[in-house]
Amino acid sequence: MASDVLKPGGSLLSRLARLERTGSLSLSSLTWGGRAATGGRLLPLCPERTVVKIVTRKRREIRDDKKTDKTSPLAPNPLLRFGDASISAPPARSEPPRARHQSSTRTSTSTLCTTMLESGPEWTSEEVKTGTTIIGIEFDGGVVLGSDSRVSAGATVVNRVMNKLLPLHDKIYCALSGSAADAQTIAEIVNYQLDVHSVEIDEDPQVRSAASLVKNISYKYKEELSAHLIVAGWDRRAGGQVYATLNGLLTRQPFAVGGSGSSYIYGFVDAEFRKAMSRDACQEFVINALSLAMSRDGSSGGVAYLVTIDEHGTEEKVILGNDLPKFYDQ
Amino acid sequence: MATLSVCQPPPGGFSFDNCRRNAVLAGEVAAIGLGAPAARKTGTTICGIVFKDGIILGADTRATEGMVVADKNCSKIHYISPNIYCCGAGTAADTEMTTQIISSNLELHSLSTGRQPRVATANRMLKQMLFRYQGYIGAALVLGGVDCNGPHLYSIYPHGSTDKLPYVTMGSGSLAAMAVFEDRYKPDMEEEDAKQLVRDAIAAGIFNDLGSGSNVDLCVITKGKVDYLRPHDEANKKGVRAGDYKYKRGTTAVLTKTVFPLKLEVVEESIQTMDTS
Repeated sequence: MASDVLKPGGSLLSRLARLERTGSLSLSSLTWGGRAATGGRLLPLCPERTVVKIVTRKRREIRDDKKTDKTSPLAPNPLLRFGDASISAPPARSEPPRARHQSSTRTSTSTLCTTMLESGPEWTSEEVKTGTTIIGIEFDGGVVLGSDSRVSAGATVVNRVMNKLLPLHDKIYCALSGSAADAQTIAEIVNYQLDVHSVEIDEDPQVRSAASLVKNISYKYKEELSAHLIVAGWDRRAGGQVYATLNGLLTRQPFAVGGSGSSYIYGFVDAEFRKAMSRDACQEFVINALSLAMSRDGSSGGVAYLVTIDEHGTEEKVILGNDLPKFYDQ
Repeated sequence: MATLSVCQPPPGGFSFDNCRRNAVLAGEVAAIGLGAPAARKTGTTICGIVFKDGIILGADTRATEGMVVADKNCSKIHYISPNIYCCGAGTAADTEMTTQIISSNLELHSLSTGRQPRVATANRMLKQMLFRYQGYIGAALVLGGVDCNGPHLYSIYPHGSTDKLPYVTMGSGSLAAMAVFEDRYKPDMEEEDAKQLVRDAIAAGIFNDLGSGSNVDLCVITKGKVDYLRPHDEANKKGVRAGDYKYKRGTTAVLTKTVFPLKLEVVEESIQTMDTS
């Protein structure tokens, strides 16, 4: 039977299906390999031949031992039944493989993927995230960027004073949210690329170019990265601009909010935003929004960082916890 | 000519597919009843602090393999360059090898630039390497040193994010140590006060965390001088036995004594020289 699989000709799926029908193979233990599970894209987890060889050999030995065995092709994982000692294996274990086989292959892969992710090294599940509230707003002649300062890993706050507003260039800043490592790395790469670009064009880069570079990385590595950066700055051609680059899109907006705390303040910013606010009114708007989000979102907190960029320069400010405006808090 | 344009360059980046396969295989092995060998981890409390003249790094000295203490006195403060040292938490092998690789690269870099290496350079190299491996290298580091721009202290996480702060703690005992720091840290402390604070923070980790224990190691880095104090404080000395189980000769009476001499002959004698040059 094993040699059937190794014969050339026919896709692996059809060969597996043939073995499945003859009862000498249980597809449930193969959901993580082969073309069927991935809708055309082979998951290169382990050489196909090795996988199939292991399963079929064990299955055959069991059949020889028990001639009257009425095992159906949907029997529990044959590895469990190897040897008498494991016949009394807990029935609970047999349920998942059967359930997995009966559901669609796409779901089975995703179930398995979740299991694989859970059984990975423990520090991958304790990744450092910037829970965050970030906000950027444009006024006539510049932009104001604001962020909170909390960085968490699971339930622990690992840094309560992190400045999430990183410079990409003299008059272009970005606000980080999502996975700390991914966001920091994107910001540092774009900082380097902008340096090279500004030397090549021999003048200060446009904010749109910076946002475009961030967008390119976010889009190309969409599956691998989980970070959202808001890019804002001032340049000679278009004045103050704010760009959102979530998931690889590039859109210019009068204001943008991001991070886990932003969901609590969408109503506030939509209601309170006015076009053509003054510089001070913008700063007050940002501080109010941040302090509302920080008081409602568990992953945002600490102090508020503010960066105001206009034609004349860049101003960085920190507003400490007890200086933040207080709202209804009972 | 048309086919040339269809060729796609190979996608860059490290392929982590085998990690998923390993995780599934580990699950199947566990189902049979065997266990994969546990990697030796440094459960750990490590911390660092910036004081008036420089940096103090502190660490405990316990290395665990699962629930067993594998090494009661291991060294967790690793050398990076004459003015930069790094404490490591997480998988012992990962911290050891990562710091050695970056130490070697930094020495080459410093010879190439002709200058003393900077802490920011070491930080950049470490974070770029850890990010490249997407968290699979389980090294959580506290990097500290004094360079031409003054003292600097960084904490580096396994996924590649870094924080630059005046005091940091890492490892399983980090919460206990951070509690001590948050209570008593002041900017610009004197050396003796700062050493006492770091010792107390590590002691908090040692006594309140199962993964940390034994002694406290300190490394005091100032401009032009490094004090590697190992151990700085033996908080857990092994006790002296109270009782003695030796019996005096004659406690048991000897009734009879018979001696059988064994006659042995030398059959063959061969000499093998060892190259001890």
